[in-house]
Amino acid sequence: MKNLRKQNWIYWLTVPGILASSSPGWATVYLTVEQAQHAIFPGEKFTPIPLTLIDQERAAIKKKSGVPARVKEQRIWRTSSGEYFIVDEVLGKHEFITYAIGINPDGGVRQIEIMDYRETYGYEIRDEKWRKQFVGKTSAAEFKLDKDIKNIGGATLSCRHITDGVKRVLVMYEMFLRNK
Amino acid sequence: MEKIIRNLRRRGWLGLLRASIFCMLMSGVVFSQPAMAGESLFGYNYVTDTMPKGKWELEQWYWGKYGKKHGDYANSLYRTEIEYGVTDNYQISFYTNERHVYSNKTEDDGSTGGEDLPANFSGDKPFNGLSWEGISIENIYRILSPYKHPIGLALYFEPSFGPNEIELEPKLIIQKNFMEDRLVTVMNLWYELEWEREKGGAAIEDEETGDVIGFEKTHWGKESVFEVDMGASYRFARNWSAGLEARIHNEIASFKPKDIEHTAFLFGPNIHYANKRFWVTATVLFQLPFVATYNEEQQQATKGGRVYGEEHESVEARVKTGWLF
Repeated sequence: MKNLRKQNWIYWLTVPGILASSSPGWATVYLTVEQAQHAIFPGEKFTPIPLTLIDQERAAIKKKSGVPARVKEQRIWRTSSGEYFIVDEVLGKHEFITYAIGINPDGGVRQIEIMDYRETYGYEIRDEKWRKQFVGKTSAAEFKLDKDIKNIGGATLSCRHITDGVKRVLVMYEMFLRNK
Repeated sequence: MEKIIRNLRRRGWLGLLRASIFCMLMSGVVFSQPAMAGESLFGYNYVTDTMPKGKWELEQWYWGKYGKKHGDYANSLYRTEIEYGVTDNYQISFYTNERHVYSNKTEDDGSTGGEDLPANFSGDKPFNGLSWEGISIENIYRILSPYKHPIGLALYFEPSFGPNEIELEPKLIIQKNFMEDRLVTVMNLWYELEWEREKGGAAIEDEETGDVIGFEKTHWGKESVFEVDMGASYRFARNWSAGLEARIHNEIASFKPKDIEHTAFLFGPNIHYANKRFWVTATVLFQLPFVATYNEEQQQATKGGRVYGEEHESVEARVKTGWLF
């Protein structure tokens, strides 16, 4: 009996395991497209702008921004005041992170909003303080972690990919939207 | 059925079977939730990621090794670990280790041997035993992050203490990511110093006359290992990664490099699933048939280009699971 108990001690670990794994999941979608639009441009009306990037255009964006442009079909809206609202996705550690960027007519970031984040750590990226670092930046900014963008411990990959993503979107804006 | 279970238990496969069922059950629980994010891509290799400050994790390992030159042999190590982020770049972990060994007629002369048998075991009958092996304290300090620098770099130091073995294991972890961090490559260079309780009984002969002048007592023997491990893992779908791992293992009979005994090569696939709270990784490594041996005793411990002796088996597997808090 003593031996049996000794061999089975390991299975007691299933208890915290099941508890940890079956505890209620956290909310995954924070903002819908419509909610993000009104968070960044309150009271505005939005017109969808269709944009499909061909391979050469994606290569040009990668060359200028240093960040691969994986997606061909872009999700873009223009406000009646000439600002742009763009929804983008970047790789998190294991899931995609969906976020929205509002761009002023001068090419500077008006605001970013995290719409969907499902990683283990790094929920501070939703804090206004972290998101505010992007405000006013144009495609000419450096966009480097620990330089002009502060990193969040335990979420370095997410921070870097969002930072890279914003730079890529701003480069795309300069190349294909600003003078449209 | 009872006979099959008895046979599995005897060979140590029951542990792997239980671990597999356990992981499948756990996966069933977590698949029913919204997908999230998780940890550790490799069974054998370490990456430079560390726990964030103030966060902790519970890990359970199963490490099974099977098959000797002769007879039956199964060695199963169960490790339970608590990992804690002291700072964003330094984590400390505490392990407790429990080992089950089944061995029968593994030696050339028909006796029973292999690693992790008690120092006082006579070898004249099969061995089947479970024992608490000791504790380990793992420290990882990250110097460079692969997400901010061209490469990731971390230092690892793990002392282990047990009634029959003391080990010190320093390690250098180098990581390079590609394809927006979807492809992770890693190299671990490590050197392990071991003090192992060895059984006595061997005759001590007079160097001039050859007369037996006494018998060795049970003592602490010194051994060391220098190993280069490599791995690559590609994230092929949300939450899922798969890849390959390799080990180049150099066994040294003392703490001096000149006493190197053999260089063994192990290679095999891994698969990893992770979500926000839970992850599981499984790796199977096969010993490749081109061992290099450096003395006659080691040559005698080989069969089909693979070395066995007291260090290696034909195949080994690791299943690691983790719960993040």
